[in-house]
Order: sequence, then C-alpha cells, then structure tokens
Amino acid sequence: MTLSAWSTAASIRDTVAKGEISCAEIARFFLDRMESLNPGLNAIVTVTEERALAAAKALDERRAKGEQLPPLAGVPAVVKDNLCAKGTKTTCGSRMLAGYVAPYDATVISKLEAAGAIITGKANMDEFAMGSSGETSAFGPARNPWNRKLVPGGSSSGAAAAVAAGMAPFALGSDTGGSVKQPAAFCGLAGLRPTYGRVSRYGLVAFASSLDQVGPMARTVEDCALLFSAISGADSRDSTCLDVAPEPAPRPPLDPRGLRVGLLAEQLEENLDPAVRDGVMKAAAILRDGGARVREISLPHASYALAAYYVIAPAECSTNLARYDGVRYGLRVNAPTTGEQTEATRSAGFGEEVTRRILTGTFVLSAGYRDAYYEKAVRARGAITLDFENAFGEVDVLLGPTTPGPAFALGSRSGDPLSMYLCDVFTIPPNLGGFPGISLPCGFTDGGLPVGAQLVGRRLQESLLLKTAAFLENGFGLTERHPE
Amino acid sequence: MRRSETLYYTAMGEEMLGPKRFEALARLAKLRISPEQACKLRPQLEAILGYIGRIQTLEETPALSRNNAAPRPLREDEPAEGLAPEAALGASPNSASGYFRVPKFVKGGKQ
Repeated sequence: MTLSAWSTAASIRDTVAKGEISCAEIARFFLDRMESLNPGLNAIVTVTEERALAAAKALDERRAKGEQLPPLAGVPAVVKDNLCAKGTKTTCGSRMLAGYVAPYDATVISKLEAAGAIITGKANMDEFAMGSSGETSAFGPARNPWNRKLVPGGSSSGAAAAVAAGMAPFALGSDTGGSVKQPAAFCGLAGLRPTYGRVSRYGLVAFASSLDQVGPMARTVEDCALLFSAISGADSRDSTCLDVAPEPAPRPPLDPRGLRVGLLAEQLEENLDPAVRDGVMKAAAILRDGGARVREISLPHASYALAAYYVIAPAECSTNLARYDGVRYGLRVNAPTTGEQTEATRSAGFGEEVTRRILTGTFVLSAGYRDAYYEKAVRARGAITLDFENAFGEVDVLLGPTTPGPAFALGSRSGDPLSMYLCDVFTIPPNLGGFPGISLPCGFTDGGLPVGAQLVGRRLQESLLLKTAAFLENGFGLTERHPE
Repeated sequence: MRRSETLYYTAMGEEMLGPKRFEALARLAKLRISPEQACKLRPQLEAILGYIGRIQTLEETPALSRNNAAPRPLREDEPAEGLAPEAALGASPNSASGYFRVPKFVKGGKQ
C-alpha cells in the first residue's frame, strides 16, 4: 500500500502489521501534512510532535525485537483538546485554561496509546465544548475543509476538520448534545456517540456530567468501530462508567433481512434542506432493498427535547464550571480579596457563550425558578427517554437526519444563540436518554457539501448501529469523495 | 434570606430579566459583567429563557417522571489513590509550602 492522506486506519494497521512501513515514517507523513494544512484550517491547537515521534520510535523498536505489536500500531490520531494528556497543554478552547498542562492522562488517551495509536495533535474546539460551529474557541474558529468559508460544526470542530482534511484517519471528540455527530455530518464523516457510560470520561474536562460522552470520528465506519473498540470498557476511575467489557469491532457484515427500522417521520416534516431529506429517504430505501422492514415511528415528547436540554446542560455547566476560580489551575487574575479574585478571573477567562450558559444555568437553578425550569426539564427528559424505549419495543434502530442542513457560513449565526442551538435539534433527543447514535454521510448538496443521517440504537447496541451504518455506507458509496 | 432567594424576591414585578435581576444573576454566577456586555447579553438571555420556558407548557402526564431517566450508576464513595500533592499543586497559578495560595479572606489575617 502507498501511504496517502486518505489511507484508512484499517489499511495503515494492516500495512504496519505486514512490516511494509515503519511507524516513524507514518507519523512523519501525517505530521508534515498537519503542518502544511493547519494554517488554513486552524484544526489543531497543539501539535504533539515529540510525543508522536517518541511513541512511533518505541513501536518500531518493539517490532525490531520481534514483539507482537498492538492492534492500532502506528495509526495516527487527533484528540479533542478537552481530553487530558500528561505533560501536554489541555486548553478546552478557553483563555481560562490557555496555559494549563495536564498532570495525568485521560483513560481514553491511555487506552488509545496502549492500542498503539499515535497522538499527533490536540484539536481545536468550541470553548468548554459549548457551541455548534467551532466559533466560540478562544483560539479562533476551525474551518471546514469542504469549503473554508464555512464552519466545520462543533463542538468537536477541529477533530472533524482534521480528519476530513486527511491530517489523520480518525479522531476522538466528545458529545454532550451532538458535538461528535453534528460536525461529522458537516464534514462528511462517520461519528459515533456511544451509550452514556460506555466510554470512560476520566480526564475529560466536564461540561454537563449527565450527558458528556467521548466518541470516535473517522472517514469510514470501520475506522470508527476500530477506535471505539480501543476506547470502550469499564473504568474504576469514572464512577458513571458501566461495568461492560470493551466492544470488539463488529463482524460479520449486517444482513438487514429481519432488521426493523423506525423512520423518524416527524423530523422529516421539519424545515430540512432537500439534500438531507433525500439522503435519509435513500438510506431508508437502501435498508428496505436489503430486506429490512422500515416503518414510521413517532416520539411524542421529542419536540420538547431542545428546551429540556438547554435547561439541563446549562444547569450542569454552571455547577461544573464553578471550579474555575483561579486557585487550583488555569488563569488567575490577582485581586485584593478571594471574592474579587474569583469574579475577575472568571470574567477574564470565560468567553461569551460560556458566560451565557453559566448565567442560564444559574437562573434555572435559582430559588423560585428551579421547579418551573430545572425540575420540569428533568421530568420531560424522563418522558423523552420513555418515548425512545417504547420505540425500541417496536423497532431495532431509528433513522432520521443528523442536522436540518449542511454546514453554514462562518459568522452567519454567531450573533444569534438560539439559531445556533437549533443545529442540535435532532442529535439532542437520543442523548437525553443516554442512547447511542451514529451520524454517517448520506449525500451531498448541489453545492457539494456533505450531509448526514443519524441512526439511534438501544443502549449498549453500538455493534448493531455500526453494522447498520457500514451497510448504508456501502450502499451510498461516498467514502472515496474527499475535499479538494 | 439566602442570596438566591434575594434574586427572586427583590426583582418581582420586573420584566423576566430586568437590569436589576440580571445584575443579581451575574453576582450569583460570580461573573463581573460590564454595562456594554450586559446590553448585549441581557436580551440574548431573555430570548433563551423565552425559548426554554416552553418546557412549562408540556402537559403533566404520568410519562413526565424522574424515574424514566436513563440509569446513571454511581460507584461506592470509597477512598482511592489520587494525584500526588505536588502534581496537583503543579497546575496552580500560585502555591507555596504544599498549599494553594489565595488572598486573605479573614479580616486581619495574612495572605
């Protein structure tokens, strides 16, 4: 195999296993590509060259000694900059953590490196993962490789842009309301948000703890599955991590005969871009032609999901971000008293969107409003979860759009927070219930922009989701199309 | 009366998020917001609160229940090995003698 920017993780893994190329050569190739492309895309905030080359050298030495290499040996990976990597800056896209160097590795970073993957960079992101465009980053927005005037989506903006541009075959993002699935759709990638608790969050900077989850993004479903397999599994250091074994990469391919698919028809009645609607309908047709039974499914409370999310997530964010007081880590603005120092530090360190969400969260938790907003939203979340469980009594997977439309222009929504929040209208409902979901490319607009379809499954059924997504990917035949 | 109660009771009768209530909210959130920022943020927050307020129109039915939410298991709260003190202090903007340093907050005390 000739190494190219579009080599998949699976093909790189196989080439390394055959001894046709060294891990150092692979690392150098992708680091050089990152160096040449990043000035135009701003996808990476920290290039971890030293760490990458040291890891590659260690793998090559192990091979020279005749040792068996781990399953992802030599495969480059980019990780979102809210994942702690020891001795490396972890900025979370914020001035608050601009100089923060993590003193420990996140569990997913340890697992990724134990599997032999080589971390080449920390990816740009919306500040503290709050945003749907990448534009709230304190380090400037990442750009969409399909059209650099457009956003790549968010909040895993840089991770999506880097993979779409061929800087790495896969990346780790995090998904609270859709931050893996939505940028995957905008950048023509597969992006999996695993079941809540399926992947450890130890070392993931917290945003909304009842929702946050780490997830893989890649140009193919197979690569997404490989990365998921490497990072899933129990972890005693994350109290919410489920005691479930790591997920093996799913094989054999799906036989869709007998698969029951629920088409989320209400979502298709929304104000969708025609390419999104056509893509989802084509996905339904591919599954039906393969022998699956497709029927329409209703989620009666899903129209309240966005409102419930924008009560619950800001409430949790206002609590989680209370830790940024200038004492233990991050920015400190000196002031005569502790109270003044806390206020001065937080006001200088947080950007506008984070400030908006902290204020929203503080409001919905304050006396007199808590019952009307927070308690009602939590109970609405229960009703939405029940809708999904009822649906999974009738079907095996749910199919709908990932986003209402394709990527939008940089700056076009940044002054209107509500219109930005609507980007996540379809990714949020399953997240509220802790259900796994995957976005996969389902077509292109007339202007050549990718759009995505979302599959949602029962909890812990990532394997079925990945197999179904791989079947659709084969039916769509879009994996050879890359940005110019 | 707690500060959060103050936020609610002193601002009764004003619009949803009038200037006084907005100031009280910022104090609660430990954020210092300039008048220019407030001019921009307050109407945006009003719009957000208007949107999320639709949650209150959701009809009360047995389906609306905390019990239906996804399971979020928690482990036993037992002591376990954590970061070494020097590693934890290493990320602090100001530490000395094994402690985080903060400005004095007791009258007459030292920093």
